[in-house]
Amino acid sequence: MKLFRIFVLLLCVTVVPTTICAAITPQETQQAAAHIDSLLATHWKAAKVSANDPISDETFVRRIYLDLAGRIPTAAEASVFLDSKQPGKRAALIDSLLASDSYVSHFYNFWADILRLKSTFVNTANVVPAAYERFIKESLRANKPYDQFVREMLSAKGYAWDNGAIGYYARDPEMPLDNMAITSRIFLGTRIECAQCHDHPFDKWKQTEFYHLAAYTYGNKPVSEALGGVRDAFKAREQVILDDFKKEKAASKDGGKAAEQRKNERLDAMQFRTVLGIIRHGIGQLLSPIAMERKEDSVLKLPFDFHQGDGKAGDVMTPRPIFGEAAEPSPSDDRAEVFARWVTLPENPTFTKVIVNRLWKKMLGVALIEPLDELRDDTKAMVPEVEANLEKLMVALHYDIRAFLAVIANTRAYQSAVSAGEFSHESVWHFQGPTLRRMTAEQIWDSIVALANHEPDARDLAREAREERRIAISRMVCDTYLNYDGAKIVDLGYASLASENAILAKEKVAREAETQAKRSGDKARETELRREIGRYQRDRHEAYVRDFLNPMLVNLAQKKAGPNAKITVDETYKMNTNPAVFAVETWRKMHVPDYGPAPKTAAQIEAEAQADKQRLARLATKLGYSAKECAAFVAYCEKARGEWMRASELESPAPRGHFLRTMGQSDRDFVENANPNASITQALALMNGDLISPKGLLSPFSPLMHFVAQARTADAKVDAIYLALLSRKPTPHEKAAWKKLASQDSASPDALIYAVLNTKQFIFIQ
Amino acid sequence: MIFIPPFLLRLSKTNFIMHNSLLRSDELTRRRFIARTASSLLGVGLMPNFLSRDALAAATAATAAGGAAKNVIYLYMDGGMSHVDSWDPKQGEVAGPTKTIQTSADGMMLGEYLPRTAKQMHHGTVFRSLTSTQGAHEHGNYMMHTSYQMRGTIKHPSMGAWLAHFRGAGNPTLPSSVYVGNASRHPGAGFFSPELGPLFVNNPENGLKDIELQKGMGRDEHGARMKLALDLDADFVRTFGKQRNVSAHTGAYDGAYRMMASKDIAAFDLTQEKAELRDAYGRDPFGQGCLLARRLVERNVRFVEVSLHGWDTHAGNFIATPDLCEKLDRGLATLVSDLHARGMLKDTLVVLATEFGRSPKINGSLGRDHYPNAFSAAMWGGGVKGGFVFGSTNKTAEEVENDEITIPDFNATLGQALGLPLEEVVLSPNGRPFKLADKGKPVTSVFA
Repeated sequence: MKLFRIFVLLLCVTVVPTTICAAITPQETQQAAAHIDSLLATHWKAAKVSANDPISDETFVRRIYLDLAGRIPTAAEASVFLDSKQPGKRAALIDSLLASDSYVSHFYNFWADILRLKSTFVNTANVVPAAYERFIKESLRANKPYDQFVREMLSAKGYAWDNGAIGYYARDPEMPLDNMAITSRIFLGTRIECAQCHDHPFDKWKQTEFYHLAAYTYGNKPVSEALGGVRDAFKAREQVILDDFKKEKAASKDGGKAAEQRKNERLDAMQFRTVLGIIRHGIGQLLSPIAMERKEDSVLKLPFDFHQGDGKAGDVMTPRPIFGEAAEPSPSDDRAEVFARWVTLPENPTFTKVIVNRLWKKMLGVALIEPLDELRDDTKAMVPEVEANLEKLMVALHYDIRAFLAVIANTRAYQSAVSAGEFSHESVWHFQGPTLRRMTAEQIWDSIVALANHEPDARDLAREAREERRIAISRMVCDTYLNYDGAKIVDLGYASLASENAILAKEKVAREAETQAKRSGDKARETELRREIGRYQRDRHEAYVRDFLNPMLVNLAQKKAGPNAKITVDETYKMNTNPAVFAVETWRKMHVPDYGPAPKTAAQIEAEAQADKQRLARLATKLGYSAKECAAFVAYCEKARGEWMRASELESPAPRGHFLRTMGQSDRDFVENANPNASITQALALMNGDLISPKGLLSPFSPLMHFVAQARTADAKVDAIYLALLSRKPTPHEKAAWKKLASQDSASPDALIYAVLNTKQFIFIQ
Repeated sequence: MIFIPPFLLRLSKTNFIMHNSLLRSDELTRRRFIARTASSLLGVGLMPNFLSRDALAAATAATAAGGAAKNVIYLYMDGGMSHVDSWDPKQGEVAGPTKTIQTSADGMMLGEYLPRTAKQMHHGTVFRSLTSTQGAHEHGNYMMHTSYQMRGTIKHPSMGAWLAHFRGAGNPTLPSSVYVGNASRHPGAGFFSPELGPLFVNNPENGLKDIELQKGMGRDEHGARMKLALDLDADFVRTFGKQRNVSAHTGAYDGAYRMMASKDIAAFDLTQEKAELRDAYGRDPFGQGCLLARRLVERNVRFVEVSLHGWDTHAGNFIATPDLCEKLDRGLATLVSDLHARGMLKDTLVVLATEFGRSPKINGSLGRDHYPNAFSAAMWGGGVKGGFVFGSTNKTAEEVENDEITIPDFNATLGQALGLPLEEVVLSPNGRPFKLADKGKPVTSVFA
């Protein structure tokens, strides 16, 4: 009866229009959590096992921060929670963490590993990954329902700046089949990639089924603007000459020999290559894909080496789902949209299963179905009642991820001690508590950030502004081109031709002389000529800006903001002077109204920097640093902002050799490629690297050391260190071990911090 | 009236109790379990000796050509090296200003920018008939390193990782392979456990990252702190010590201590070499990288890659190529002669590879563009013939004329030189079958 009531209750909320966080009341969250616990209790009784012990507030606060906010709590955060006498404080903390920026940061990392998010894509303009990253972060920040999130990615098309979700397809340019195999795996838990090349050897999938499925998205193509209008204008110019040639040839008496020669001379004189070179130089970035487009006429055929019995090479494959509801697109349908709808239907037999298992595993360490992305017909959950209930819950919650996580976090099962046993593919798992998990690379890094940076959860607004600007500039370049007639662009190209030719001729002479100098070993002359060549390259760029870029931008500005509109130049922008990127860099200096905020002036930037310094100076005073220490504190904070930003604010993946990569951050080449295994290089980095040294978080200005310094007695310092690093008090044994060392070697608190950060307790989540 | 989606009704009726997928103890799952844990338990460079297949390999290798090489020093010319100006010089327009020189091998000619290497060619074989369809850097580089085309669903292992997979690490306290250079992309371990991938060294003169104690920390102090860490973990270990990932943590620290104390770490200390020899290798990252490679191979690190960047000579080819060749020439020629003098050349294979060649036609900026259609590579020592040329191109170096080989063929030849099982199928963690050189066939005529 009670069971039914909650069921009804959950269904009731489905009729409420979805608004963020309103999908479920706190009472309903508790009831849903209790229901899961009751299902588990029944299961445990039958399996003759019992629940793990409930956990202390100390264990809870560290675990919940790591699981939802992605880092350990600061000492202050831990004490606020531990000292609170408020009933229901655990549920309140769960809610506040789910609503925080830290949640967005942490779950961005979670999805980055699954979606293989990268800051640069192969053969794609950088605006695409920038817009994609923005899409993911905004979706998380808005708590976009999961089904909608997936639907937006799977049906994405258009320009990157209009729809960042196109990154999902643009991530795998020219690899639509691989992309489908990944889609099937990460959203449907179905490993069908073997069937890409032949019938699946161990599962039921036929190669034709894979091809039918892939046919849905095969028409999705990355597109560039490709300068089609320019090409047409060139063709028109060429056509004039060809038409003349036809006439002359018809009228000629020598069989057209002279006419042929004249035609060739005229064509050479057009210098198509050089003019196209000038144009490409200017708007060449439009040649890299900046959008996804549907080519509905692009059909998928069985490959030339197809040799299964149920078709033959070259057969056209119609879109057809591999299971679930029928979803035959009509000719007028957008195939990818039909696909996106089919995948995300609650009736789809695996879509909901995968996400509930993913999130359950995120919180309890093991999914109810392992592996959760290799579902087969005979796959059964380890506790089927809980699995079924979670699916119902997810649907009832309209795929509200935060509300769902809140339910799991409020279960007694989650709030139980970790199991001493270890999950393996041979064992049966009963979920009496979470597994003991090593922190992910991002959790370790973000925890260190919390110890080293006074603003540990700060978004990198400067980077976000740069990315926004990048997106705006791409839109500006594209609009410039779209607003300007292809023929006029070609006219501009020809107007620049004379100066281009003159400069190129000089450059070639200099290059030949340079080669001569090199061969005769005349180093001084070689250097001189190298400089001269550099000058010519700059001359070319200046001519290009004057003759080509400015007229186009003025045209765009006037279209956008009236005849008196002006383009402005961002004088504070420090250009990369490498000739190869000159054009792109020139665009970055330009500002046209309606393309993002106007660039800041040098004075504004200076004023902001000063205001920031003053803010940090006030913080120094507030924290009790002396006037003498203030400058050093401000310098420390500025360094911290440069070096110790949360993982979600850094490029994806972090560069090789970065602490994050050493700790096993995914290279983001492959689905869920993060590696939580210990390695020697990790031990070396923790013991011998700069992080746990006075250059890192042992600096007197770090939040960690500031907190420890507040404690006056040696004993209180030990307590402070334990609170800051492990969110608890030391045990008598631990105190004794430390006192023994401290008395023998008069070791400083630094030694204890160093030791604790190298313990297993620090790096494992209990 | 409450609307209940039919799906929910169906779910509530379904009986889910049957055996769970985890209980399937099929071979695939077991194998995956082993693949993911054996090496990861032990961390970098701790592949235990019992996993070594040396004995087995030696027994099979003796029957086929090749198999003499134990170690590889792999010199990678990043960006696409001009074959026309180096390994496959021509006369006439395509040569540009580049002249041809004699080598220590009868009848073999090289481009003039490799005079020192020319004197070592009696130790090596030039391959002049490579061809590929990969004309973009990233794809060509990936293909050369893995023999496979880039895919979105899998990352293939590089040769060093295959070697570590088949043979284990050569030195218990050093990584099984090392990469010296700055390329941002390297397939590394591919689908193997990351520990089979190379240790990345950006600057050969900087030694091994984090191998020294922090400045100002004494050994005793460090020891006391780590002893304290152990004491503090006593309760934790009593409860959880048997868990795999917990004991792996212990193993990693033990390995780190061993590595820090290992005398073989001295391999990274280039100052132990005579100044004249260091000068001969060239005082640049590539030259010193070659020297580091020799020192590592001496200590049984089986695969060392040294990368030389900047070969993408679209403009000013005849300025950049001679400059790059100067660096290559010092490092390579000194490496070959140094290995020979130490008696190491017979079981150390020096390989020179690149993603593609460069267009024989010279462009308007006196540069050469990407050219995968025909290009060259080379090998020295490790059982390959000295003074040998395999394959040829036509007189403009634009087309392969004789003995065309693909990148997988070249890599199969490398594998054959090492006596690795080219036909052994290895399953990736998701059960897909791969071989170390895909469908490549070794060129056996290059073995002495």
